[in-house]
Amino acid sequence: MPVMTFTDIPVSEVDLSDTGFRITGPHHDSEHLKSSISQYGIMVPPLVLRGQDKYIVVSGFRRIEGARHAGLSRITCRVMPAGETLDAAMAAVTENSFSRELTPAELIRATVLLLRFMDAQSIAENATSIFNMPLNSGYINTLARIHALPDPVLDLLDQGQISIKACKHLVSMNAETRAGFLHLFSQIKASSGIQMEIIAWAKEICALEKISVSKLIQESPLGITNGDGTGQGGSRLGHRDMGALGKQFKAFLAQRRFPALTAAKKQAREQIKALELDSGLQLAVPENFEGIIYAMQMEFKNMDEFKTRLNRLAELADLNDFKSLVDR
Amino acid sequence: MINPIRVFMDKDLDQTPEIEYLISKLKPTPEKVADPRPVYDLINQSDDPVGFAKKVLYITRNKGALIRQCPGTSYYTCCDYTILHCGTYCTMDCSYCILQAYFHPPVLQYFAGFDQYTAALDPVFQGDHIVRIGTGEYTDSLIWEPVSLMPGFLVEKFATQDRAILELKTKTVNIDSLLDLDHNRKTILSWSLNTPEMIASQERGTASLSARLKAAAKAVSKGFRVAFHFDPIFLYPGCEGAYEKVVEAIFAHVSPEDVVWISIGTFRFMPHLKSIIEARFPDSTIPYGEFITGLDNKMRYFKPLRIAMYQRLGALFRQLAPGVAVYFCMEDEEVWMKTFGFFPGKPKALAHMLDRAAADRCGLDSRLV
Ligand code: SF4
Repeated sequence: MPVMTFTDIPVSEVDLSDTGFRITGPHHDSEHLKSSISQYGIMVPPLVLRGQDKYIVVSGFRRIEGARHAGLSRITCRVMPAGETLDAAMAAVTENSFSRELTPAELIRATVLLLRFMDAQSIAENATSIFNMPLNSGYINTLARIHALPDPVLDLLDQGQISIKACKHLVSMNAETRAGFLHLFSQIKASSGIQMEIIAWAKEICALEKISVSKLIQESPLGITNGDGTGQGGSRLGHRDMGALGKQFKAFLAQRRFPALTAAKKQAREQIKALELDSGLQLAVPENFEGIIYAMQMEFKNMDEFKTRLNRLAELADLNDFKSLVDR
Repeated sequence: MINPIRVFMDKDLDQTPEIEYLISKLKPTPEKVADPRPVYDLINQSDDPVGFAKKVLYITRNKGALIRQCPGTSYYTCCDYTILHCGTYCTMDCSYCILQAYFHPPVLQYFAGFDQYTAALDPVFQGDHIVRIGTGEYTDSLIWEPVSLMPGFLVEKFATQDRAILELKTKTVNIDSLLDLDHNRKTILSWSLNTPEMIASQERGTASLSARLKAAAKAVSKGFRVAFHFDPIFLYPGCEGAYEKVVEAIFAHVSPEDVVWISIGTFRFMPHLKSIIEARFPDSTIPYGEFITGLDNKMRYFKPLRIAMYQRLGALFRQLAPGVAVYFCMEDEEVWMKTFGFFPGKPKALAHMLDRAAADRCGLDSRLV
């Protein structure tokens, strides 16, 4: 149990530049917290460790930033004695993980912080008391490997642009491929499942075509952006809808990875559209064109509608578009 | 080739001539075990159990059913094949081999016991219908030939009757000890074929295409009937011409009259095989074809691509070997119709077609077809 004292200290004596114990990301939005501190002051005292001539923040970076912002000159902190670094690390993690669920980037920072003082096995054995959830040593080592990936990875994790699952795949890639994917995920936004699909398809296309991920991205709709991060019209990429870019990129990959299937699906969609079916009639082609059963679903509210739609169905049999769709 | 670094053997196996012969052909002295656990443990300890298991031989008896029906699925048409379960796993190493994912752990097992085989086969030989039996479902039929009397025993056993044929399916050329046996045409020696590029890149440790075809010609010169299996066919740039050349090469080595059947089937796989291939064959791109999930939940090439390939090969077979039974392993009505213009859709129709081919080429009792 770490010994700590409640002490009123000058804000200027807190070293905010030492982020050794920091778990929250720099992008965390703290506007509301700042205005709360301006109005009501700090409710829960931050935790600091006595350093050589300054105090090192263990937990409460944003509160202290908020205090500075509000122009407070002194704040009450919980102060740990100098040298208690293991206890400080443990406190930094537990304070955060028992007050809310850690984000993926926080989980990684917290794990790497603890790995400075203990091995993966010891962390795993105590994970429920430290992280408020079980973690196995293999996973802990994976998190450490993700942390060792080049810089943008934690930023992307902080901003929800890449998932831990996707990062796990990047870990085993060569540096060039990894850099290609990190660049890609800095430009698009997609769910974790779609990120995995994108990684798998892109990797497979590159293996088949013997090209690099960067080359593939260059050839994609994302490649039309200029080297300085602006689009063809000179507008910053950030102004474009990253979600829409993600969808566009996925569609590009699908078309390149499954050209015949994509073309067949597109053709079937066009053929079905050309049939101009009433809203109460729905035609389904065999999934992926593997089976041979087509399905037509008819909805109706009354006899008149039933008869009208039945007549429409009868007419379909003579339509060439319908024949070429079914007799493929 | 069978060249194990460790050999285990059930401690209560009798020292029959079969076992003595086997032991005489193997280098490490067999370690006697009471049950398979030490074998499983040894294999499971390895970083690559799938690769390591190819070097550990376990001699035992088949404690389950020696004769089984091939597991087909309801949607795709199956040929009603019968499996003689005389061993498991393989010493060769094909990237696409389903056996990598089928056994947990995989174990190279030799099921000894001619008495047991006789007891299982005699009722089949007295049955009232034709049976096509193969040993190449859970192992390669002829990896065993250099060390075991089993292939020869089976050839001679099948030679004594006219209701069943034995198919020994292989990617080896291990046929020398069989050539001078009295086989009575009741054994079909069959080869799985692929293009030279695919053999070189995806089939580690197997015989080359030309060696397989030369072996087939040698077998035919000794009166054996032969068969060929284009399974799996891979779709890659230039594959159509490459597979056509293989077909042409077959008939440059053997005459169509000596060929009982030819099966064709494009690559399909259980989804979890993909990660095994990626881990064990990092340079292989075979799992990256244009696959969809089939109605049997296996990954299959998009159907129009399969059909286009089949149509090319079908046309060539019609031209070079119109009398040979060419069939699909696990394809549906649409594929059959668009390739061959007919569909053996009635129950057992495909089986009947193959029984007829076996009766005609191998001299089985045609009244039973
Ligand atoms: S020869 Fe057959 S059994 Fe052996 S590894 Fe290849 S596919 Fe598997």
